[in-house]
Amino acid sequence: MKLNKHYFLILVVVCAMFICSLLVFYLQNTSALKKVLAEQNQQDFTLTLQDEADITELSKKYSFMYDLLAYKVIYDDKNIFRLMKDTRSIDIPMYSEGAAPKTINEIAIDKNFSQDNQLTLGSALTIGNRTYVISGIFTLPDAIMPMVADNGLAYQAKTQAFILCDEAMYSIWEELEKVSYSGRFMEELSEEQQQNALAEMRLNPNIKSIVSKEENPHILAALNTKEKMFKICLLSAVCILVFTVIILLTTTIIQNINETKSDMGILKALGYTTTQIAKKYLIIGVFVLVGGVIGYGMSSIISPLFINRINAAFLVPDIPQNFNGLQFILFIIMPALCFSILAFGLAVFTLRKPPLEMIYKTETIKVNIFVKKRQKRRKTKPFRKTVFRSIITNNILLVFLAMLTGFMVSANLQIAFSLQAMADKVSSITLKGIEYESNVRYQEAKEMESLNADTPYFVRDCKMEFPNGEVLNNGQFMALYNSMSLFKLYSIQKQHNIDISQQKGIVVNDWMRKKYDLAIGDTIKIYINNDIYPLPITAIEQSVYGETVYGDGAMAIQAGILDRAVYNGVFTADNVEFDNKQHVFVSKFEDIVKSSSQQKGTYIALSFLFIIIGLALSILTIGIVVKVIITANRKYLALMKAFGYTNSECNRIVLSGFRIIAYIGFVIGTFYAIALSHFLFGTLAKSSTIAIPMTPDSKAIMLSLIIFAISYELIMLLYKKSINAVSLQEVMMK
Amino acid sequence: MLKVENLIKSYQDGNELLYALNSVSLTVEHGEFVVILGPSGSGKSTFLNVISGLESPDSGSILYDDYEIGKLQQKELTLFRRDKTAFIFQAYYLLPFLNVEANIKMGADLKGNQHIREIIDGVGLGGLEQRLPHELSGGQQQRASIARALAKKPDFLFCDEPTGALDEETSKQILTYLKKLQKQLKFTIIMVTHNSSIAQIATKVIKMSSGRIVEVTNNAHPCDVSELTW
Repeated sequence: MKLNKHYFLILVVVCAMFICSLLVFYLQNTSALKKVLAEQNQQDFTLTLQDEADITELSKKYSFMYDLLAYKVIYDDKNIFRLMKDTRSIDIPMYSEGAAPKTINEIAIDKNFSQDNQLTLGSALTIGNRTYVISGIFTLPDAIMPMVADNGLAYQAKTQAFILCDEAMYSIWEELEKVSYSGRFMEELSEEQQQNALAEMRLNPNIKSIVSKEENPHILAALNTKEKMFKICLLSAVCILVFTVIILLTTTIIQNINETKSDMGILKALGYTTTQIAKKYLIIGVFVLVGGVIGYGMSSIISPLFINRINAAFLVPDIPQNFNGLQFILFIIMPALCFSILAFGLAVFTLRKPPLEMIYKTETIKVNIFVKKRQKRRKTKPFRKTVFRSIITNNILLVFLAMLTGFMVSANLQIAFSLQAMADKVSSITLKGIEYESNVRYQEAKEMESLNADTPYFVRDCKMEFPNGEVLNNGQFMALYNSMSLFKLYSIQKQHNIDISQQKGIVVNDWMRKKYDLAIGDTIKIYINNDIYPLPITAIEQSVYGETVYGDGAMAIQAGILDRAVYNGVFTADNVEFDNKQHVFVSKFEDIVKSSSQQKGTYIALSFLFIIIGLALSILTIGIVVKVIITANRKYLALMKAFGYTNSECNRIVLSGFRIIAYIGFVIGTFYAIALSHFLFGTLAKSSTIAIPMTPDSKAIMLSLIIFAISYELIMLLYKKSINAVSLQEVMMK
Repeated sequence: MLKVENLIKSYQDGNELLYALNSVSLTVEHGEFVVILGPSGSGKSTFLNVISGLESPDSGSILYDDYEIGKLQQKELTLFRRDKTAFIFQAYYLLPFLNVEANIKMGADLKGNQHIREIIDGVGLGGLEQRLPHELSGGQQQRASIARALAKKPDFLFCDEPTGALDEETSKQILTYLKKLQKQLKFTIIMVTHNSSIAQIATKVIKMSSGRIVEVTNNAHPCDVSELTW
């Protein structure tokens, strides 16, 4: 029995390898995130109190535990240090190396700072005029890991350090202590009770502000988003992969059984029972098992590389990986069993036919009845056209597989490019304006007069209430005074810059529109101190992130938000470096790009994963399709050659038509990728703080098409050799 | 004219060198009906393969008029087969998913032959052109195979046991068609068979044994197919 065709083995091994690599990768990463969340005892909310309020009373009343989140900010010429006591019970920093500082001369530093400055355990670090020994390296939970550092810059690992120290050292520093509380509800509280408690706390006059984890886009939501995005991306990759592999394997099994049908017929004619013949096909499961085991082994090599890459961006500690018996059974043993049973079942199904019919494979001709009917209606076309049409009519499975090749490349590559686009858009989280690149932004300078006030703005914290009843506690209202401001707002509906001076209401961003189901004309209630300002939405700008609404300065004065044209920040084109004595906040484009590149790296890594999977599977599928076509038509190819058809003519007649089918698959894959991207990012927008408008990207489509065309033609070029290798003597064999 | 001189073709069988063709020489004139006879393993099929350009000889020359096909490159050999030769096989090798007409077009398209209707009628398949091979009898399939071969207007028709799978009556029908069409179209037939009766209708009979031609008989008065006894 001709069972172990080399392509069959390769297919099984490679596919199984990919499945296992990805599945284990996915499972290990999601479990890693959960583990991290559990170990860090992440907060449910952040709380700031009115001066006279008592946290103990509040914690009893609303059933939560709390932890003081206090820190001091120390500036030196180069770095900014956030100093915290190493006594946390909520949002616990996790040590990846070393241990907590135990003496007044020891400190622990965060992993990013240590990596970017090549600081290791035992190294010395000078803060102010004192030098300390590094006793530990830790990662901060996202909940207290700010995206914006204390000087207002986007978080920058190289110059902005987080320091854990003991009480004695902490007390030495006389900087102003910034205080808030991390709160975590008691375990016994249900989700609903927690939400009720949060709603009550918001109305409590003793509480100055409360930010739940769902509402805090700068901290915990970032982790949630990352986790969700990660899950969605990997799940969709795994779904495509599993779907493809099932089809490939099933097709290969069917093809294998078809090719050995004559042998089966002979065995049946000789008196072998159906079970005796069919059980030989159970061996297919062994191939799957071998492939699976190799894949599992490979994944344990590949996964840590990815996990480490992701850890760098997700800021979680390194996760040890252990053998998981359940995973092994579910993803290795079970598929092997299933494919064994499938092969056995298909063999039994084939063996129901009379031996003679199997020996002569007459059933393939039955399909031709359709061909015949069609041919009766029209004039017979030239041989070249007829033969290809007949090949595909007789093997719909091949057509499907050929289509799948285009589909996979298109879908995978375009989803990969979408991920890259997403990474770029996430990078522009705080850029907002399209012309922000060359500009510098100041905010809340200590001496406003020192600033060039060409394009001033006024920003202040506020609470917002939306028409659907939802509330955003940590919003900001920004009044812009200059319609030609360096800070531009871009309308996604009208595709042009928004002239702020023409707005009689406020401008919201696209994330808010999706999150709170807003439309132009809706009214948002802006709460500043105890005053309420209902303002209509007059435009929507393109930002995919952020809780700031924008209004014209004159409009703000008219609405009563401002008494006069005051400002607490400016935009400027001057390249001004942050000065601790002058500025509270400086934000530069390059800082933002730098900080976002960390996250970007993860998505780019993922997108490459998609590209590799898409190309690998497509190349494999194209190879199998061509191999199957050549194998199935070997005798006829030899015949055509004997008659005088050249190698290139044979190639053109038999294979060329599949090119069109593959390209049809590519088109379908494009639509699928667009639909999937819309679905993924739509889901993401509803459940997180990022709304990414996904529109079909013609560049991505073109690039995918070029990559596909090159891969396809290269494979075809290689397989031309197979056609050339068809021996003329094969036709003379009886 | 086909002129074969000192043709040698050998195969390696373990450590032993087997000669399938051992210094074979032969001359065939245009329009001849040559039958090659011999027991299994005598080298007759190899001889057919080599002289038809399907296989290369180890040495010797094969001259078709001015063509020395032994010295041709693969591409030139393909063009030679396209222009000069056609084949009929015992197993017919009709493409099972194409109807009779489309199968015949396989040959016709190579030479741009638009007159396949005459050929179909000539082999007695008129009215059956839309049928698929499995809907035809063995004899009809072999006639379709003849039509396919002749549609490319060959100078040389190579037949490998064309009646080997057919009963006597059908075999006679096939041979009748072949003789009739040869008379009309003036091509040369070189047929390998182990049915010695067929030799009676040939103009030249070659007997082979152990890779050598052991006897060449010219038959000035071949008998009619109807006179054959199986």
